[in-house]
Amino acid sequence: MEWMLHNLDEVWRLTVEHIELSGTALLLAVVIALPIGFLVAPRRLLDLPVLGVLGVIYTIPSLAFFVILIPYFGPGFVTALIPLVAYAQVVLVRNVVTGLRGVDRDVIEAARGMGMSRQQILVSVELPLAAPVMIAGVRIAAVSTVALAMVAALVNAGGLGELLFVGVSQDHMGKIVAGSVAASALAFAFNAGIGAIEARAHHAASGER
Amino acid sequence: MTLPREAVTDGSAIAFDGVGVDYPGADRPAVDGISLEVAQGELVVLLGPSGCGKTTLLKTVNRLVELTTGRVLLEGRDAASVPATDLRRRIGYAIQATGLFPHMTVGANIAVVPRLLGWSPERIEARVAEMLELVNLPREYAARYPRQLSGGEAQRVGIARALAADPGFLLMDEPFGAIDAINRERLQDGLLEIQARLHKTILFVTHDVDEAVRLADRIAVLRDGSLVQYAPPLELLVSPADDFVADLVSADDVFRQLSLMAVGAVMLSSGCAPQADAPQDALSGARPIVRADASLRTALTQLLRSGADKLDVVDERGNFAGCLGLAEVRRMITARDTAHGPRGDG
Amino acid sequence: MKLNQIAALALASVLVLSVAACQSESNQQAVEGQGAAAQSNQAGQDQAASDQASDQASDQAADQDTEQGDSAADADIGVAAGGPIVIGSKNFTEAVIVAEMYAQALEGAGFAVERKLNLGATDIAHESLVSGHIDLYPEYTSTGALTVLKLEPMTDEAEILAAVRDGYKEQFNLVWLDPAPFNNPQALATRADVVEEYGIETYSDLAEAAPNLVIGAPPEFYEREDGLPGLMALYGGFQFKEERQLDPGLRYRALNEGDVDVVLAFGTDGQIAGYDLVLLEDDMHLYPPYQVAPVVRQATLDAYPDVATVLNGLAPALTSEQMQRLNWMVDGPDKLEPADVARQFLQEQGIVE
Repeated sequence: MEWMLHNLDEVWRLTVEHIELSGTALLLAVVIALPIGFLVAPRRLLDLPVLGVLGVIYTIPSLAFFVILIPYFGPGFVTALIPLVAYAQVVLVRNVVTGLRGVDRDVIEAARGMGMSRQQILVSVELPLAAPVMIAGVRIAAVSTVALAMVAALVNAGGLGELLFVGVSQDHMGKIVAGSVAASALAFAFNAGIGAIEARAHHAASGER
Repeated sequence: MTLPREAVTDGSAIAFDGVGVDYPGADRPAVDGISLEVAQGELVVLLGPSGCGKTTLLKTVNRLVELTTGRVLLEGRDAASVPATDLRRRIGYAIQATGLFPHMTVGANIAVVPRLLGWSPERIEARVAEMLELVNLPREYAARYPRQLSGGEAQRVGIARALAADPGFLLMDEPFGAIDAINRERLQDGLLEIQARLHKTILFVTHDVDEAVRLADRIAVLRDGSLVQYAPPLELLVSPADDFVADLVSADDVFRQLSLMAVGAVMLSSGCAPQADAPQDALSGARPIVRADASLRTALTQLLRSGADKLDVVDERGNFAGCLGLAEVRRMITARDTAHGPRGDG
Repeated sequence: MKLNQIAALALASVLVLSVAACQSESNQQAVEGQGAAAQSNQAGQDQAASDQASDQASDQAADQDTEQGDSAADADIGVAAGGPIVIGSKNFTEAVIVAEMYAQALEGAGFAVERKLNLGATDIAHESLVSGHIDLYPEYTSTGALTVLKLEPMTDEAEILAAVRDGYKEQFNLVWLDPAPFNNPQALATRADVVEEYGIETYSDLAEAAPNLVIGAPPEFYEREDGLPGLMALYGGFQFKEERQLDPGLRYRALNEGDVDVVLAFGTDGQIAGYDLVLLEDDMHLYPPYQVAPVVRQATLDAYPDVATVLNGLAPALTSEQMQRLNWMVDGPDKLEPADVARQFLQEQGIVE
């Protein structure tokens, strides 16, 4: 722990890099997962193919991803980003779908019967009611993205993985501890932060104050 | 209503003209060529066993179900001539599960359609208060959330929501089906009161015969997608169209028939050997009292309970109006039976 | 938001990001290119500028003709268009130190240098080099021969060097500059007490004494032809009491604490001298030599021929003793940073002030 305390600025710099990488990946992943989720939710036939493919993508080792991407983007931020976005899809899409399907059918029927348009129902009824489950998906994806982003160091994209891998190769216990502790703290922070948003969404959706 | 005008047929509020709904892959149509008309301000009940098509028929009015043949006319205009969402904003819709939005307050729920129609916030606020009063809920309820409501309260909010934009028509799909018996009766009374005040045209779906008999101006009995009989409740009881209807409404059920007849129709106005005191004081008098507008069933119950041979009849103001005994009741039943037979012939 | 809007936004974001990734490279070159053009204009002759430009252009065209690789981005990225020299490295201590030396030596000679170190695998480094995202990185002769070119193992240093030079030039248009004298083969290392107790000096000795000992090595060692199977085939014996899988970074800790008795090491590991360990002698020469040299893109050398001069000038100074010492400064108790260690060495050698 000593090394970490003496090198807080370095650890902080790498933590910020790590946040940039995981945060960007998460944001992009959500933007992509939402339309996919909207498409799949009403069509159960799509469940198996779509979630199946996304699940398979999740199992592709990051190293393999990198080797494919390097000729186009080289070592760096984008090459690290793309696999992270891809890995997050399976959790996010699944939760968007589950969230939307979990909305009470009677509520939607009442909304239709009152004359709300498809779009109004989506925005005013389905999204607020599906939000808790969807945000839970974001929370889970955030934690796993923070963990997966450790490999960004392998392609010179920075982040806390640098501390871990360099520490291991140099047998530098201080760096190993620093990298692990910082990454855990980050994951914990994401979990708590997004968890708080999730709780508020849950209260709003069920009409508790 | 602001729908474009066409040739009006005969002033009916809702007209089903050969309406049929066919689902692909089903053995028979869900609704098979039904024609009937609902007059302005009338409360018509669609009655039948499950699968008879009553809910499907109801939903062709606000086009939650699209019909395959025929037309639905609302005040003479084809419902299909208007965009569905516009149509629905002008028709109230209340369902059994209420479908209240859990993430919105009671007030916001009630305000949904007015908001869709672009009412001003002041007008909406006033309207919400008005609606809560209409369904007998305290004003403070506007800030509550659906999860804080009992079943009966939630159903009332559902009705308030359905009426909020002052639609010409109200569609109700077994709204009281999930409510316990005691509260159900209260809600039915509430609906009758609302109807007395607002005179909406109401289409009400139920499988509960007692409910139908209590609420309806006319009952449409459906079976397997077809219309079997369309008549006021008493006529259904006294002259059922066939055995199916007779069984359904328990046409032989004398007590049910009696519940549809008023005391005032059979009481004796003279020869009552009246009490010395005016009936309004006679709370502990030898003769029990019944109102003239009460049903014969209520009267019969009192007669049986009290063991008296006659009841004193009073009007709404409590003034003595006549008297009623078992003989009068029996005479009524016999007269009906003689005229129509225990099983009517149409 | 409508469904369409959401989809469009997602697509736009992905596209923008990909374009931005490529753009940042070419923007950088555009800036540098303008800088270079400005300099040649200052020299006075528009003629000279257009000559230089057309020379570069024809070089690039020649590159694309002779190259058999498939990197479309080749001509656009990196030094061919006037950017800084990008130096990569793999992610173990020695690789990083050597790469830092290359970088600082070139900086000392006046070049602009960018570092992309700690790349996680040979594949990653190699692909980055072939596709032009880095200009050079330090590689080992036998790694190039066995892992990249997939040739048979050889034991003669000169033979290996010739093989990789030919192979890389032909297949990837990459050039191997002069290798450093130190040889860093895979080696088996053990503690002094083990040597005393069993009287082991050579691999042949170890082959016999193996049943008493526990060995620790990365998983591939137990599969590779030049790993345990190769040792068994060549020497016989080598039936260890227990075979453990060990991450390279942890091997010395495990060795010192007695969890294992023999580890797979590298010849120039600092820990050998630092912990007073013993490298056993490969008496039957199973292991090919591993010499390090800069592997450079032809395009980079064409743009900056002095790169070869500087790096070749550095090579002779890296002996095995020096390398072990430098490695130990990073991996040992001092825990110095590779960049500082490299700088100190270059200053000592007078290559840099």
